Amino acid sequence: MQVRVVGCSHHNSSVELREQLAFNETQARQALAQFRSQYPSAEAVLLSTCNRVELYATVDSAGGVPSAESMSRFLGEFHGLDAGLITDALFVHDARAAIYHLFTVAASMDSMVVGEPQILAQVKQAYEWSLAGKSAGPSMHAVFQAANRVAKRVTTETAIHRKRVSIPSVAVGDFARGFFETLEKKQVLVIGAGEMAEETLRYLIDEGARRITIVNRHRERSERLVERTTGQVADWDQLFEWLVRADLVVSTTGASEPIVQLEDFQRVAADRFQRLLFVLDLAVPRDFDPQIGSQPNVYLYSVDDLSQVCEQNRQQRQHAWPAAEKIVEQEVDRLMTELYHRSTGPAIRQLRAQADNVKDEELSRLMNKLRDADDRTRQEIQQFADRLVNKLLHPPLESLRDESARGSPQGLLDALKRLFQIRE
Amino acid sequence: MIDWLNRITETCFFASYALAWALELLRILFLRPPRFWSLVVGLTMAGWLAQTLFLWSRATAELSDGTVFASWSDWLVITSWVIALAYLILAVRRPRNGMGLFMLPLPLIFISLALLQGNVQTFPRGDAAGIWGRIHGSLLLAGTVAAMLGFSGGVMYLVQSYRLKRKWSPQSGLQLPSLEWLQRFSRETSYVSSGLLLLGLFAGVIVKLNQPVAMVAWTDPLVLWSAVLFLWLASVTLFEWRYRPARKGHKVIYLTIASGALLGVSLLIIFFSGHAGVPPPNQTVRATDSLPPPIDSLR
Repeated sequence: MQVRVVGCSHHNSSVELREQLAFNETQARQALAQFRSQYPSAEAVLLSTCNRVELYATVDSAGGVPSAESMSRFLGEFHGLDAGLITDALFVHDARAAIYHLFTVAASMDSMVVGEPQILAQVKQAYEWSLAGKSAGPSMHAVFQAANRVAKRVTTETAIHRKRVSIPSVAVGDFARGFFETLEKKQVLVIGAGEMAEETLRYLIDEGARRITIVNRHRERSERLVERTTGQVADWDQLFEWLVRADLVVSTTGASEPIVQLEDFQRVAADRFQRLLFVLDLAVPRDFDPQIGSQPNVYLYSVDDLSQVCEQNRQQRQHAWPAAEKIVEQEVDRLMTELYHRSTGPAIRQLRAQADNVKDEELSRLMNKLRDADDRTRQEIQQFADRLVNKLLHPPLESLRDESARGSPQGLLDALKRLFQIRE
Repeated sequence: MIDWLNRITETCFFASYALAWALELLRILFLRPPRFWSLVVGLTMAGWLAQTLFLWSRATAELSDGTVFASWSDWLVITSWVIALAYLILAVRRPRNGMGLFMLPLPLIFISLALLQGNVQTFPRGDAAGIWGRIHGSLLLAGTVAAMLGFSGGVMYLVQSYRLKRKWSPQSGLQLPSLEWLQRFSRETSYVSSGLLLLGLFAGVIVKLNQPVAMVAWTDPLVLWSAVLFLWLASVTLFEWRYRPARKGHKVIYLTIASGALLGVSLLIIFFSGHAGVPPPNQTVRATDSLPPPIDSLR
């Protein structure tokens, strides 16, 4: 079996190129059908996410996988782009390197935020689209099944996924759980409606937050944010009323002075009856007077506080990297062995059968001539013949296995078939 | 079978819980994978099963004498057994949390006290006050368990709050339940323990009033201490009911911890002031030993 991947990712291409090459579901299905009609012997999977566009192709027969150029051209032409311009911007991996790449992608080791969990679902979805369009067959099944296994092993056997590294994800995923069992019935107050507010809000929604109020100086920006996410909008002058009700506050305004001073908060605190308050002050400069953090049952976190944890998490992920890499190597070897058996098994069986036939014929002829030979002598001759056949076959089979481990045994297999006149 | 059961001693399950606690400590210090949690729970489970068999064997043996669980030692072992069970339930429901660090010492302390107490009896056999005495003891036992669980929950809350105030990641090192959960746990155990202990102390008063001959004077230090505890619990309940902030945050935790600590002091007074009970029947009784047992003490 031959494998090839052609594509681009955040490592080697600009976001503009990735946007031009991106496929939505409908386009991906169309592209796969088109690819299949152009290369009927090839199986294909198309993975398209924000950070990568990758076209995987496998061929089980001797026909050969489409060339890297053809695959690059296919990607470009589908989007009406000049193939000559994009070919240089795309990477190509063949055989073992292609499988290794897929495994690192599925295990989220190639992601922009290493360990982010969405990529495995995206890989699975890409395979399912291909399967539904009959573009994936047994070869792709073996490869993507293995990729899924690798991702699960890396998740369970290493700490690479356990540590979050972005500020909003650490704030919500790590710290909010230290305060609240669930965010479902917690009043979340978002102050500001910028990018950071939106990103944090998305994490909060993922974690189950439902009661969300957004307060911003410009109400229309809050309304737009609500349209993109969820929640309700409140006026800026209601800020302190909502602070009384809030359990969790995310503040991300661009104000140059704190918008909540200690004296303001003390008035709010009187109405809160010491209810727990978790404040994520993600604004620079800060939105909350730092002294508010020393108030009873108030836990105030700034960007600096969270950055330290992000950095620690990054370092811990680095420590987990070798273990994850080892798993990927092991699984690549395992798959290559499986593929070796699959692609070379019939030819090897045939070769052995042919050699055994020759051996049996010659032995039979010899034994007829040596009628006076005793059993011990006959046994020795039999063993000699067995050893001779094994030793003669060993070097070519070993070369074939080595070639398979490198991922491209087809040429050698063809040569072997011609040399020994093997007909499967 | 019975011979085999008789070989189970307090040492067996004490060792099991102690080892589980040590492993829990290691789990936290060295950030061991979830497998380590299985070892902690497995050892606690083994200890708890051994303790169950021990109590069953003890009950079977004492049934022939007509009195089951008549010694302080038995009551303390039962208390530790219930706490260990509560820990197991919580550990299974919240495997990521290192609650064993705070909860497993409780059974160890109660088993140690049981070993120190030996066979000192709660009641003389055939005592007329037996039924009310048992109600008194059972309520106090349940109240003690709840108070101790609340106490450990309160300590966990303070540790978690301390860590979060200092911006330590709650997901690394020692992992504890959320402040919200710990606050609710402490508040609920505080309510339950206050109710049970108040009823238990009230039952103790009935026991005393029903005695034809006063066994312990109303001015006995233990009786006075019990009255103080009664007043404290009643005040705490009233305070939490009337004062809204007392139901939130640190105040409820301080109150829970104080209740647990006062109860601990009560237990120590009982055990180390000679009020714990009467000597076992086969012990030589001196003239001064003929004093009746303190039935309105905390059991």
